[in-house]
Amino acid sequence: MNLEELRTRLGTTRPAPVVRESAASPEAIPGGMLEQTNRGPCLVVETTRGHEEEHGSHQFMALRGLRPFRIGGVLAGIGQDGPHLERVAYLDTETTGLGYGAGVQVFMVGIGSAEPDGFRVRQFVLRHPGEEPALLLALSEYLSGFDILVSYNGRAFDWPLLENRLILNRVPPLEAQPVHLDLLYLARRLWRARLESCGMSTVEQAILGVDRGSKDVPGYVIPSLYFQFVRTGSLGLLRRILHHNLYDILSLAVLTAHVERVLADPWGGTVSHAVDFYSLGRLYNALGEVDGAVACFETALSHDLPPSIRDEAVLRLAMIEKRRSNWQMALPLFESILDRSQFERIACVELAKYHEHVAREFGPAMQLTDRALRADGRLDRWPGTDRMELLHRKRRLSGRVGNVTPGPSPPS
Amino acid sequence: MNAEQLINQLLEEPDFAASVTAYRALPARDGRYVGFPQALDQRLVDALERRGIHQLYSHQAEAIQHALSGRNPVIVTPTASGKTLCYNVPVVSSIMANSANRALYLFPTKALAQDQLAELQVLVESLGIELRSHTYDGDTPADARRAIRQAGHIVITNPDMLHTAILPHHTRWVRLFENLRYVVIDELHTYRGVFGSHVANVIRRLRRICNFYGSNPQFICCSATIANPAQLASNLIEGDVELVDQNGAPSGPKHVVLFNPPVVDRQLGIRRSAVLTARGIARSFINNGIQSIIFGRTRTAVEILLTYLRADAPDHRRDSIRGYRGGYLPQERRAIERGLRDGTVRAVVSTNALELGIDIGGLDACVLTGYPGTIASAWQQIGRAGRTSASSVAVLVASSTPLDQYVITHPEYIFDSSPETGLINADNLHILLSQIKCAAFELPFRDGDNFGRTDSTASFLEYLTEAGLLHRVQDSWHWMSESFPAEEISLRSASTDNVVIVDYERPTQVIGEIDRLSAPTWVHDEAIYLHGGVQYQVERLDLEEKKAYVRRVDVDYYTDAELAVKVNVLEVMGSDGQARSHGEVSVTYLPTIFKKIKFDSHENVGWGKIHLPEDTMHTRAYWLWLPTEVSERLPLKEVEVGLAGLANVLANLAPLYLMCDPRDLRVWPEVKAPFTGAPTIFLYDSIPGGIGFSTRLYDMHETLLRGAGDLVARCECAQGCPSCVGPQFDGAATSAKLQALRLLDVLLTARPLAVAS
Repeated sequence: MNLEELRTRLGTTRPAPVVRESAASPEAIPGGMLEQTNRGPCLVVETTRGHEEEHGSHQFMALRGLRPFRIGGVLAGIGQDGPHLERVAYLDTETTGLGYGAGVQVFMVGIGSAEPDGFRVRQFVLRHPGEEPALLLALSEYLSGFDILVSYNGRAFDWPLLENRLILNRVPPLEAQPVHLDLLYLARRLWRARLESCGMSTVEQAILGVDRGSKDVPGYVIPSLYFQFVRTGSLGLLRRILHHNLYDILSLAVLTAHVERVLADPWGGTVSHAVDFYSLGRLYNALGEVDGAVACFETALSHDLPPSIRDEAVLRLAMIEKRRSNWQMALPLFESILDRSQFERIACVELAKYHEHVAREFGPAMQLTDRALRADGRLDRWPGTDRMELLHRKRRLSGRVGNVTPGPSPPS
Repeated sequence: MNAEQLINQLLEEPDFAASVTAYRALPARDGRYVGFPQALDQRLVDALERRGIHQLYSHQAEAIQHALSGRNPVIVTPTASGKTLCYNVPVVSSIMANSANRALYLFPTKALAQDQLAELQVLVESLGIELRSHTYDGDTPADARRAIRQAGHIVITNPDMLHTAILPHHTRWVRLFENLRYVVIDELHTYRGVFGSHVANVIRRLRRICNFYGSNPQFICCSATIANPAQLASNLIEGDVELVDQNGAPSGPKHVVLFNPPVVDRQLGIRRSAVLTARGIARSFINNGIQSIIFGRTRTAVEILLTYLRADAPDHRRDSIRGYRGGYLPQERRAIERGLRDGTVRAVVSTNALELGIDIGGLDACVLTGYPGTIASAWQQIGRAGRTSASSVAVLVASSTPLDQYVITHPEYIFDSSPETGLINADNLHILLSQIKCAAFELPFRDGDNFGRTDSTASFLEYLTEAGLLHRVQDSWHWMSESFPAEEISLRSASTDNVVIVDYERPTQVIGEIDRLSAPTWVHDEAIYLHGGVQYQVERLDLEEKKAYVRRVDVDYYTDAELAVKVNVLEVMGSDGQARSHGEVSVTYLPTIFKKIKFDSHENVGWGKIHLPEDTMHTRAYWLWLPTEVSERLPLKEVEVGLAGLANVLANLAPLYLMCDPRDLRVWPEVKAPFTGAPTIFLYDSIPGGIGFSTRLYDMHETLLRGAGDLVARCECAQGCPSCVGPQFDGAATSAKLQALRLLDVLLTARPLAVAS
């Protein structure tokens, strides 16, 4: 069966031929060059931003000699002592689709790095899918000069996809895998409470003050722009994608510097929003850095906060103080959220525990347990607020209340 | 009383005996045994011996020998003849020899996969080696998936999962594909028609991927009895196969009875209902404590029988009578299977869902309510009753349809003729196009690559390039689209989407599900949906949300929906220019009304309209028409009655000649079809794209019509009956039987017939 017969049987007609522009020549793209590999040429587009140049509210200067140790520490990827971990690469890819299927290609890989003359971005570009082995070889070669890889969702997406492509093109994997820091994880921790999304476009605007202007294209149209570029050879389309990818990398790099400074000293002027201190408090608390957590929660609470966040900050602070047996601090905090419907149950439970186990005042403990049982229990994620547990507490307390039990003996 | 004694007693009752058209006592068969092949690891032999297996059945040894020698065996033996061992032994043995080796097991359903996993794990445990086998399907938790991809020795899955989850993500399965030694395809006979044609292409894709990673697996196939297992397997895997069909397993004596319910109205040709007859026979089995399985033709029949048998049973037996069919949730099915094995379930009423190799042990008795449509299915179902030494009984109760009546009055058809042919057409245009998309997504094609044995691969690639899905560069064709083709293509039918059935009075309760194509006739608004013997009324069918909202009711009727069908000819691909053609058509279905039918009396007690959109399918058809110079001289009414009658005969007879499942073929008569301008009967493949049934019918036109004439002429009825031209009603102005015979005569002689005065 030939093509003509196939068309007839499928009831379609011959489509209009694609008009091709001249082949994408590297010279036509500023910074473009062809890198030769033993599996063919790969287009590389290089852009350098001077140290003094600005990206949003930051200068690229901030990236000179930056070692994201604190980020690494939080992400538990590297310890605090990593003098050999010098070279940081910022990575972002453009792909022909979402998901990890074998048919999803990585057609552009941008790598940013701080260099003596400024911040340099090298973009490895597939002019057509036949150049994929060359791109992967050139990329592997280039990446071997770096120790740390910083990405935004790269651990879950870009990197596994690149691994797929290596397998598919029989290109050997990198000999030394760089340490991979995925900033998205931290961004979520830091800004989820305040921002609608933690996508790069939202974060760069809200946190870095970056405005891409009208030239930029939204991420979801990129695959179709690329397909059009491959079919028509139109360089205009490619430039728009290059621009988008460049900005993603510039923002990623600057964001890395920003987060590193935030983690180094939240009070150093880098955090301007009270909600962010609350998020930092939660982050430090999760890392077990209790003093830092307390300080952050206290800073957050000394400013205006949305009511639900305020209450949650109070509760979390109270929990820390309780764990440190600092009841003087913890009790008023728990009491202050007793009337908040969302927190009533947990506050009652915690106060009841105090009265039962610390103060040994079973009457009040019983009253608080009853109140907890009446309270709205939707916030069940707190341990100890389960209805069964409350009923168990109540049974135990009613035994104790019935007996003559001494309260704490007054100091004589 | 055991099953044998009971059937002997029944055969002595004159009323019962009068309705028996055939009785065969199949003798007990001794097993034929062979020692373990030399090449087997002694540890494996020891483990089998510990499980009480001291020798192999001859067919097992033969199959294992083929597999160990690098060939592709196809094992065809009855239910419960130890087929599993035929593949587990060579697979486990190869992994014991080299722990890098991998195997892939394909079962048509998730339930069968679970069953096999359990069996495999018992064997592996007794071996005490590290051999990891896992099921990989929609229910596998995400965190377990990574481990399975990396380290699973035997991955047990289904073709759908291979199609959407494994092949398109092959880079995650490098270890499997680099080391794949064996692919096991069980229940081979289910891979026919559209499903089989898709699966053949999935296997082409599998081979491409294996080739990429440097492996070249052997295939081990197991099948129920069909006419052409070796051919089907060879078409499916596109390779040479070795047929193993000499069963060496022993079996107890089996009594098979063909039972034709008595005629209750000779004038109308009405026989006693098969359901009510089966109810009576099953009741005597159940009351005598004989563990039984009762097969129904449809889900409705199963639910009705279940309702009856529960009502008939004494209180203490009621809960041990269970229903089983697609649409029951997995936990419920597992519990019933366990109950059958351990004997707590005494009777199960099932659709053909229990025909497959799900392990329920052997039962004592089996009742088939209606001929299941194919010889292969009939023997699969009969095989459910059977013990290795004790005797068992199977009774086939015929319904009034022409097919059933033909089979029940021609016992040699069941006992002596060859079973059905498994037909696939891997090169069905639509299927192939879809599958080449999936293949191109997985790996770029290169110039000169062929997709399996397709010779026009390059045309398809060019076509997909024009359609903007592929991009050609240098000598390769690359996927260039955001879409994920495997997810958009279902192997089973036009759509895999299921409609979920929700009891809205218990909002969290999903009581079952039904495939999208059946939903309009099964769960339309106001339909009575029977599930587990409980009646529900459908309040609302939401096809967009894919949900049917039902509530429990207690009524004395069930519902039966009707479809209006329109056939448009798209392209004539062959014609004799006078009376027959075949070609491509589009068929439009529109559910119209439903009837309310009373339990027990089965009388029509009301009806309602169905308001749902129409569905369209492109397929292949064969059509025959009357010359207009004849039809114009006949009264319209007579043509109409004759045509409907003839359509009824053909609908039932054609599958017999094709040896296909009746559901794969549909018939539609039109008194004046727009395309021919004449009275026309269309017979079309009920599968998008067609499988080739109608083309074969076109070739056997005359044989088919002669057979139809013979059946109608020989029928005992006066004016026509459900067993030939279809049910006739009192006071019909003309005899359908006579009209159908007259049309047949015109069609066969192709000359104008003298018009009756």
